[in-house]
Amino acid sequence: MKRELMAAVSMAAVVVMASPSSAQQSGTFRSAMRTGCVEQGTLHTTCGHRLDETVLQGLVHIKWTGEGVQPMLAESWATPDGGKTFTFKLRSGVKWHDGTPFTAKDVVFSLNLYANPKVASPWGVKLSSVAGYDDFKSGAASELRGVKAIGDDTVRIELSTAQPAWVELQLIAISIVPEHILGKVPPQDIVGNKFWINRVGTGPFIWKEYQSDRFIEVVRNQSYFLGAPKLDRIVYQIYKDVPSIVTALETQEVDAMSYEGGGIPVSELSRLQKLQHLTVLPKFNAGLPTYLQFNLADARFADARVRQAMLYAIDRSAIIETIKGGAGELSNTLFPQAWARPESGMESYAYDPEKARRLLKEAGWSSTKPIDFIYYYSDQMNVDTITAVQSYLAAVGIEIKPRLLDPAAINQVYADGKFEMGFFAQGMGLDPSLGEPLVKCNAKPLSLGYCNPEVDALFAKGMSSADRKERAAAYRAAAVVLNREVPKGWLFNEVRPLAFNNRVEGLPQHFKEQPLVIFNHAVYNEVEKWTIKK
Amino acid sequence: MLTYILRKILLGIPVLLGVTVVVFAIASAMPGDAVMAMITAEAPSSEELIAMRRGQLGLDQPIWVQYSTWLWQVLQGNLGRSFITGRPVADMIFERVPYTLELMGVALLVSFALGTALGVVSALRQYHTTDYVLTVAGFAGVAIPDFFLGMLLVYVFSLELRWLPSSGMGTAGDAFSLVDNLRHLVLPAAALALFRTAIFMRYARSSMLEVLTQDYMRTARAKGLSRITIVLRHGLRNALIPLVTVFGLTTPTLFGGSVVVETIFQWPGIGLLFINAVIDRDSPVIMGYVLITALIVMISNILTDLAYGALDPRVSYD
Repeated sequence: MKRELMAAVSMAAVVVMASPSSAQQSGTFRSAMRTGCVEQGTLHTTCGHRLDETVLQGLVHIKWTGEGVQPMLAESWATPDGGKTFTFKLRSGVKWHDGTPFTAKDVVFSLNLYANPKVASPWGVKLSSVAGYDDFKSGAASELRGVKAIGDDTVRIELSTAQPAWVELQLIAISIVPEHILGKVPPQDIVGNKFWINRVGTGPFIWKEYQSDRFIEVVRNQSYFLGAPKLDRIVYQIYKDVPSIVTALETQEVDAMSYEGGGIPVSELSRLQKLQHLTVLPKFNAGLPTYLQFNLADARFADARVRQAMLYAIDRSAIIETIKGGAGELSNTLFPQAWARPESGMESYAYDPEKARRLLKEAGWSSTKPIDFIYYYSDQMNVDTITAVQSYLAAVGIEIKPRLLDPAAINQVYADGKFEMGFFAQGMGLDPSLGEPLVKCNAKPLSLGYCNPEVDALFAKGMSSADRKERAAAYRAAAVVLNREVPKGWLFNEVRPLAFNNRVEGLPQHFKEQPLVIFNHAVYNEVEKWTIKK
Repeated sequence: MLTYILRKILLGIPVLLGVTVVVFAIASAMPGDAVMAMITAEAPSSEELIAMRRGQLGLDQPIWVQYSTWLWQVLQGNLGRSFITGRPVADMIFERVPYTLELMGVALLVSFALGTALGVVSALRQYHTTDYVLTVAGFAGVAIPDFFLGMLLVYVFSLELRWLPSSGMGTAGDAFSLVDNLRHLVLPAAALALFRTAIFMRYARSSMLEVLTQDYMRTARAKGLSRITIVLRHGLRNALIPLVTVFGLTTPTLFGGSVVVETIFQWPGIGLLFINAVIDRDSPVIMGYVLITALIVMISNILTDLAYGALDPRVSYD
């Protein structure tokens, strides 16, 4: 009896362990995704926009090279008046995944949905240049005056002021949703609507199944307008924390790293680089400047010399070499894009604790109570960085008390006006204009008392042209001012190490050509051409 | 018997109410609320947007109004809707219950069976090497945190040996297969089972030792019964009585899930739902989870009492 039992148990064990992992099934690309990106819907999330590369789509998507846009639902567009009016010719013959034809009505509906104050979408601000946006927002109008359908296949959009780069900078954030489905939903019920867990789009892949905290499965759309995808399906696997994703990359349970959440920890990089099946990109530019955040309304931080002193007090090069394993670069101003920074003429804030003490003395710094120092990133590298910062500042007589808080609590601190100092980052790799909320006069909650009309004017100038050279001139001038006035304590431009499985042909190749992480926007990376290597 | 059950239920209701009040107060005292949790630096919201969302969710009301609204809903059988997803809380919780039940149920059953068996062996072999080895193993099992064990198991069996998958409850996107599901179940269940096995083993050992010294055991031996009959029918049966109490007290964890293990293994259970709800300040989900857990604790306490009464003929309720 005992022997039979033992035999049965061992046989069961062998069966359980010996079954081949079906993660090797050909035709399936598995992509890691963090939790909390799906259920609220595209109009109310940030990380969920990767689903808008495959299921829903926009009129245009930013290209994976970071330069230029790919026409998607818009076949072409023209702006004869230099960026005040755009006429979009929509792609013909496109059908939603449920067979309904896609028309201009869907575009008008979608733009109005984003801007609708009752929908309360934080992305609506991308349409703030559209004529009639302020009236719509205040309730004086019931729709966007500047968006009109002309027939079934043309949409005309009028802006309140000319912005030649509006399509490349703002429209890329907008996804087109089906009017025939969401048109029936009251605006305040759009967020978290059941549509978002069973989406109908126009993209290369059709939503098949969603299981909460597990995965989203999307399958090939045979009638996709850029050609039927070669992949059978994509499975977005949902993970709560980064170490599980890194493990899954190693065991080949997942093919692509998610870039939310910090990328591959520095300590894991050398181990992953030894693996044959992975392409590791250890210095992938995250387009993420990290900085010390100051509340300039607090008398202690109002004097620029105090803020400058803190930068001189911290040996940022040493932190990069030791804690960050050589990854990342020093940042001395807001913009991570090299083209938005001047070649020279900026203070480098090289480590000089003597100078720091001198500046503090000049500014009349007196050690009062410790500073309440808030931070959000809890991974080991950033925690170590903050510990180092604390120690460097203490050496010149500044005492900070670091406190880890989650997003809800942090936003509450801002709202209560109790914010003193902290360690933060801003995902703005796509374009320097994305840094504006950090330094614009009266921009809540992030400009925290900094106001320089010259900087505001330079940002406006940067948006008034589509020419890279003209824009660069404006941002470079702003970079110099921000470098001198230090409204934030510029620390580093971060990297986000990523890894991709070589068996997905097209995946590592496109990411190698991508210059930086493009957060929160749908990116066109030719996913319909990717295949699985046999 | 019936009056006993009824009395326990009636006494339990104010306790349930008290639990919900305390948890609601604590959850409301946490800095930030659901609307604050939704704001990110990349998509900052204006103050009007924030105020409007608050109004839509009823977060601008005083706390006691919010609580009474929630309570009134619950008394009508409605657990409300999530602040974050808008889906009915009852749906969100109950669709996860089977996954949690599977993980915790297997861990609990395995640990109970194994723990009891090892405890009995340890008791029978008291003061021998086996006993000492098992005792040390028991202490280690209680001391090792389940998250550490979980990560260790993943490192050995997933990364190094590649025998078992590292996370999830099945290969994502594939049709359900029992073998695939079981392969994913092994490591998280093992991480959970070690601690509980050690606990049951300690209780079983001491309970068995106590039973072994009883007079009726000597009577059984004197009657000439076989060793197996003595140990199982006369010894274990009586030793099980306090074990049933311990088992009954751990059954609420069947539904509560384990936040830590579910996070490491990305097991889509209720624990994961709860921790996400706390971070998102999703009050309806937090309250729904707490209410259901408290209810289950109450019910399992009553059932444990009844089982105890059934097992031990000396105990009766009226």
